[in-house]
Amino acid sequence: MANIELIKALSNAYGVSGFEDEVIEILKSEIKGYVDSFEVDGLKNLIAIKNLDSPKPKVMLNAHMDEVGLLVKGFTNDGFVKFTKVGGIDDRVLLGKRVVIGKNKVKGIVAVKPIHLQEANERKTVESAKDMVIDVGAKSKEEVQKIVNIGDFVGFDVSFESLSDDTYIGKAFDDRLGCALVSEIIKEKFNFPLIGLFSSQEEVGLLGATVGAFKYTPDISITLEGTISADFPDVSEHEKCTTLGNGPVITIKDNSVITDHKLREKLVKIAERLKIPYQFKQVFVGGTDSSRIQLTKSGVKVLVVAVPVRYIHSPVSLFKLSDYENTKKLIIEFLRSL
Amino acid sequence: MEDILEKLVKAFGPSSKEEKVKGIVKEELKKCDCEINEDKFGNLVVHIPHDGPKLMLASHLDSIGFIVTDIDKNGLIRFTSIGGLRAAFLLGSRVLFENGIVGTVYHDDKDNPWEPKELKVEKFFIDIGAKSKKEAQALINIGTEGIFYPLYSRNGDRVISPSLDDRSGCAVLIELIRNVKKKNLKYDLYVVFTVQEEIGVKGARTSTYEITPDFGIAVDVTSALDYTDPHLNALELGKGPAIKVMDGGMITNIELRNELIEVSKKNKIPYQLEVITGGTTDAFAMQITKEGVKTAAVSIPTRYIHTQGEVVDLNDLKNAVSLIKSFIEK
Repeated sequence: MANIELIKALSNAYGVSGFEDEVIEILKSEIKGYVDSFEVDGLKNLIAIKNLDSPKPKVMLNAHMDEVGLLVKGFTNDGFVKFTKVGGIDDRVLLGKRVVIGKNKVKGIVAVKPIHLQEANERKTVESAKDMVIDVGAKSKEEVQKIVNIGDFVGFDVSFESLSDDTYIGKAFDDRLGCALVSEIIKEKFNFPLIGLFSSQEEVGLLGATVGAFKYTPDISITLEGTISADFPDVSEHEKCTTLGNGPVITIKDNSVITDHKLREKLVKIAERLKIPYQFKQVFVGGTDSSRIQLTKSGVKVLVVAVPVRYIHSPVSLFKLSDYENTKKLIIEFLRSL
Repeated sequence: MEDILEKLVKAFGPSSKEEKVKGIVKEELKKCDCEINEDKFGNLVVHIPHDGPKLMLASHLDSIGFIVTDIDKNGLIRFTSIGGLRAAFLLGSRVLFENGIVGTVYHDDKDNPWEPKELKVEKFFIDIGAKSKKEAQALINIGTEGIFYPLYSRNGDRVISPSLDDRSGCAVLIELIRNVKKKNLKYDLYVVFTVQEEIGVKGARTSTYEITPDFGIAVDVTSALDYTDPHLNALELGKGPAIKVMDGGMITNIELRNELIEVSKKNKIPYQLEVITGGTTDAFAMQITKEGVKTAAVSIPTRYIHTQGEVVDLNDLKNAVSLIKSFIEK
């Protein structure tokens, strides 16, 4: 069974790119005792190591710890916070949202002009993020500077909740679902070397993974993700990308990588043999850490498998536990077949 | 040389599915006194061991292509590009899938059925003549790759074909390996036929890491814009191989570039200098691997790159062989 408490803790934790510390602590306490050792490298990747002396193949499981968010860049004279985006966020989802700022979790709201005061043309367009401000209730620049610093992260103030036995909403499922999967899978018994790469700064250019596979370079790496699902009204069939409830999403190609054909065929065969539902990602967009791991040293064979998630890169997203369970099962069976 | 080029461009080999092209290269080099190995990323590495610094030559095996993303209820196929397909040059072209199935590219612009307004790959589909989704699925799946149907034609010195990028470079290096005199070599020579260039110069990165050469030269095509008046760049078909100065990804090593120029002059081999602002080659990846590699590039001037009808002049390929041969021999 899936460890819901772990998914909840990981989803609720703050880890805007570059500020992955809370996530690192949760993961460390989760996998402690199940791996031989772990280390945090210079880019703040958390690397867990298990059975390094066992015979090959050396396998890496990878998920990124960081989430998209905002970063404080300044203040207005009347005490509002100016910010910049960290990672890809649609400006439209920001207005009117509750946020928390920095280590002290100062609460705030992304200011929005009441509809009553908007001109007709303002209602038809969306203000761009660079013109928005966060209201923390301060009256002046001096006052806001006492509680908020330039460079503080800004995260979405959203809590993990269940909508039904199978459906959950919360923030940062891209890629805390991957983090939860890697932690759960790495606890299982395998007789080959296993490396868990919990990478940093994926959302700002796959930075952690660019160096993360250098020290313990694997033969095979599997990146586990929470990926785009656009299976809602007004999206044409061939642009839905993935569908909730249809099982793990196997990537053939995205903008950054073509996954290893032989390993992928093996993965599909296992899914079919065990009657685990699966789907192929149908819009070949996005980039993943796998593209950087793939090009480490003289090359690594890579796979990307994901849980379909609606509304990723927005404050709140939605997934089905059955997809998570099936992804976990498929990966464990795949690893046992190596 | 023409025969090799024709065989190479007719082989199926979009990025990550280069096996058939590799097979041809191996076959053509069967009688050569060299070591041929495939590395773990899939690059084909030909080694001619000799005293001297390590020189790595590279051309890429893969071509751009199509990949299936969805099959609709009528059996029509949605696709996206492997590498840089150019949307404006796709409509009406023929696609060949690995299993021999052929399709034609059309569009779904309902408002402008005769002359579509929006030239975007997402608006296009491939019709393979299937009557239903079921019939199409029996032949094609999500992830099935395709290439431009390899229609090859030759008129005098000029060849029109898809995939001249970079089977031209492969043909040059095969011809070079067959003709090089081992006892005259100045270098410990590695010739790498790389994979996955079109989707992010990938094979060159991993193979350069593995080989760690002292010098590198990539052989690839470059855009000749000699069909405009005035010309948009200085490259012309038939005026010799281009010695690259700069492209969108790099400036070549000056010493190596000057040596190539000197060799051309001394041996009376025609050459041109290449300065372009877009695109790059395996040389880009070679240059910045590990602590860095002194890297140059020799280009075959090519018209209409990344379309079904690329055009090269065979004399440029032959002169590229002479230039590199003179460079690597005493």
